[in-house]
Amino acid sequence: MLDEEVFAVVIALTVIASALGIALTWRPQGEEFVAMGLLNEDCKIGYYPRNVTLGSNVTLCLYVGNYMSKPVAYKVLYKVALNASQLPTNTTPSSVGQLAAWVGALSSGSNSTTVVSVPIPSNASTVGSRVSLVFELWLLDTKAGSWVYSGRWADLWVQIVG
Amino acid sequence: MRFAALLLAVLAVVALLPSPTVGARDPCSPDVLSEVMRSLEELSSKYVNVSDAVGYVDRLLKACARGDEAEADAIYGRLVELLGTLREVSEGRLREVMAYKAALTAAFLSLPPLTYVLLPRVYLYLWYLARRRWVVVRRR
Repeated sequence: MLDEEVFAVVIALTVIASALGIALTWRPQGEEFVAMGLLNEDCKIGYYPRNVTLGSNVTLCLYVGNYMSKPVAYKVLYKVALNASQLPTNTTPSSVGQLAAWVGALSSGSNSTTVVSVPIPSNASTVGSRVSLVFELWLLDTKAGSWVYSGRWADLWVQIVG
Repeated sequence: MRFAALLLAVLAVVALLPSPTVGARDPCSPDVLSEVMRSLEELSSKYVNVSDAVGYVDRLLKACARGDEAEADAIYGRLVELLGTLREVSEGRLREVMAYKAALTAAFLSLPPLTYVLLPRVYLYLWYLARRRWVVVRRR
């Protein structure tokens, strides 16, 4: 049964298993990134509010995930963009001022979902118009000692009603 | 003489000044937070479990956002203590993880030669074990 060919195959398999095991033992960290998501008040995707009342608070849920292979301190800034030109990009944050912020810290590989109360500005001129509730993820740059925009953002278009 | 008295007075004032302690720093300033996060990054790179310390930083940031300075000071004090403890174990932890990885690599490396040497012997042993009650009869 154990002739030379079978024996050679078994040895080949052990060589492959050995190489794979060593590679997995010393594998480098994968791609490093942070993630942010906007969820509804039940912390689930979908069924987002479409109409919001002027000056009210809307309950939403923020998801932040840390896959940076190191702990991070983060800050989510909330802004209201009146049109598409005021939206952030993957490299630059929105130019409009922040209305609220939520902060936290996460270990490597962990995430958090936080229920937040989002204030709708009581600017009467926005009644009847569609605005975007913008959420930007900022990280603490430990070398520079300042908060930097991560390039991650989420938004929700809503109709303002009086 | 007058100079010596002046020097003594200056030294006395300096000695009476509060030393820069943990509580004297603003725990909510980005510089202090960055310093803490740098320490956590360093400890994390040495395979130290920093989840408890990150939990303190999370609470510290939230206290700072609320403007609760007393709470922030208290959390920062506990965080500094915890960081000190983690730093003490960090070198040992790094050595442990490296030793484990080296042992695992040695085990993987020895797998093919061990198979080469042991597999035929084990096979033969089992072969003989299965046939040890056999009786050999001369064929006529």
